[in-house]
Amino acid sequence: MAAKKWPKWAAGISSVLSFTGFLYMTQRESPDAFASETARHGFGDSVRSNAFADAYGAMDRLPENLQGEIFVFEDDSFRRMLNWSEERKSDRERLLESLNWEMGPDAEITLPPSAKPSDQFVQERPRSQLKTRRS
Amino acid sequence: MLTQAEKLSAVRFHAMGTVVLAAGRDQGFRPYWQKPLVGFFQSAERTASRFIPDSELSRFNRAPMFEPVRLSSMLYELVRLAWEWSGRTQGLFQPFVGSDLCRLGYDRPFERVKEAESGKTPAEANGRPEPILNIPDWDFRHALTLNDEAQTAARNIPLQLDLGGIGKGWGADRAAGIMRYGFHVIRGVVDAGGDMRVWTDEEPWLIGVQDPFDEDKELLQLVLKDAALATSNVLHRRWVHDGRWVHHILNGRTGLPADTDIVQATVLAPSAAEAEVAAKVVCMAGSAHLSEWMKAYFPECGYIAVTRTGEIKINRKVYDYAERIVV
Repeated sequence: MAAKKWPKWAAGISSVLSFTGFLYMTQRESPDAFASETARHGFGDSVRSNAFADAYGAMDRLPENLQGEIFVFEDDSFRRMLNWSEERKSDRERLLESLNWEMGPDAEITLPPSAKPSDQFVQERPRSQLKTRRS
Repeated sequence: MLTQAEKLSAVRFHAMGTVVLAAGRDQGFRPYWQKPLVGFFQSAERTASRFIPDSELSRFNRAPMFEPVRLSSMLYELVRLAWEWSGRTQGLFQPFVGSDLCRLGYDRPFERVKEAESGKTPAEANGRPEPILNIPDWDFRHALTLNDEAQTAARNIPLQLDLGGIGKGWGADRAAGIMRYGFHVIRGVVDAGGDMRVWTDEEPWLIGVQDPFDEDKELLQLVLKDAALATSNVLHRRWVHDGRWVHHILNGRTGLPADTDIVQATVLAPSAAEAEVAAKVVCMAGSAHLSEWMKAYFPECGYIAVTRTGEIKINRKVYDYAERIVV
């Protein structure tokens, strides 16, 4: 009796294994997605995170043929941004937000020159760690 | 006291005639990306600078006209990108302005141009400088012949290519790709002389937009998660030539410095190369019909344009990139 059932058992187990394998392949997102991203950006298969990292290693200074300065960039802007509440928005910022919410996708708004930052919140605003540079 | 999340590994170096800053953090705080990033920028400079006599671009600029020259993949990619933007802007952005810039005195790195011109004051302006060649618009369409298959390029007019501006934007885009997809940097910034890429999977970036009339002040601040931006300014990189103030943003159709009421343009775009081109074109467009110009040439871009009187013109597209604009 049991001997007659082994083909069914085998078929059942192989189905489960096939389905599990299928799920594994389809859900294994990171390496394939990463490869396609690197390819899309023109870096090909050679640019894999671990391979690159192992090849170059960590550094505290650049090799002599490459001149530059390695340092720690400290950015606490997000923490400072958390302190900006709705009440602290300036009138000019509220005017700008009306552009976002009330006007069409190609709309333009003109802010008049700011002779003096009369808004006390503008004066209190923390400075950015990064600024646009004029090229 | 800063937390670990607020500290990023960073590198600052000189390349492409400017200071490049890159900062980023992967999940393991591993600064592996720095050496290849610096190497990439310095290689790009050796390839595409018009100020290095032996660079590949300089050799191409000296090659006989009409003769196809096989280019490295890096230079070909950059030349093709510049040429595509020339076509898309109908010549407003024009990589052949190199000869016009030389004629106006910008024939060496800008620091040395300023040294040479220091002490000179502009006389009363009598008209504007003349363009080097009066080439009709249609001729520029045939100024360069590219062959994608053979990877060759041929100049068909006696002018030199200048890839300085778009090269920085292209470099910022490529460098961001190296960090983001090559090294899994989850929060990073690349700033190549004002052409910037920022991205983050966590807290956003805060970027200040400089006041064109006072570099110590910020006009406004942008809260960004994933964006490219570039700024062009006609007040900063200017010098006295032949008794007149001239600057480096040349209208590609005329070969002359842009002369409009806009003194600074910051553009947000899908790529830093596009932002760089668009920022230049905004300075050529003037404020009167800026919205229509941008809709025609750069429909995906947001702009922040400052006029000579200090007005700030901002379009709705800026909010496609900025979580918030603090002003």
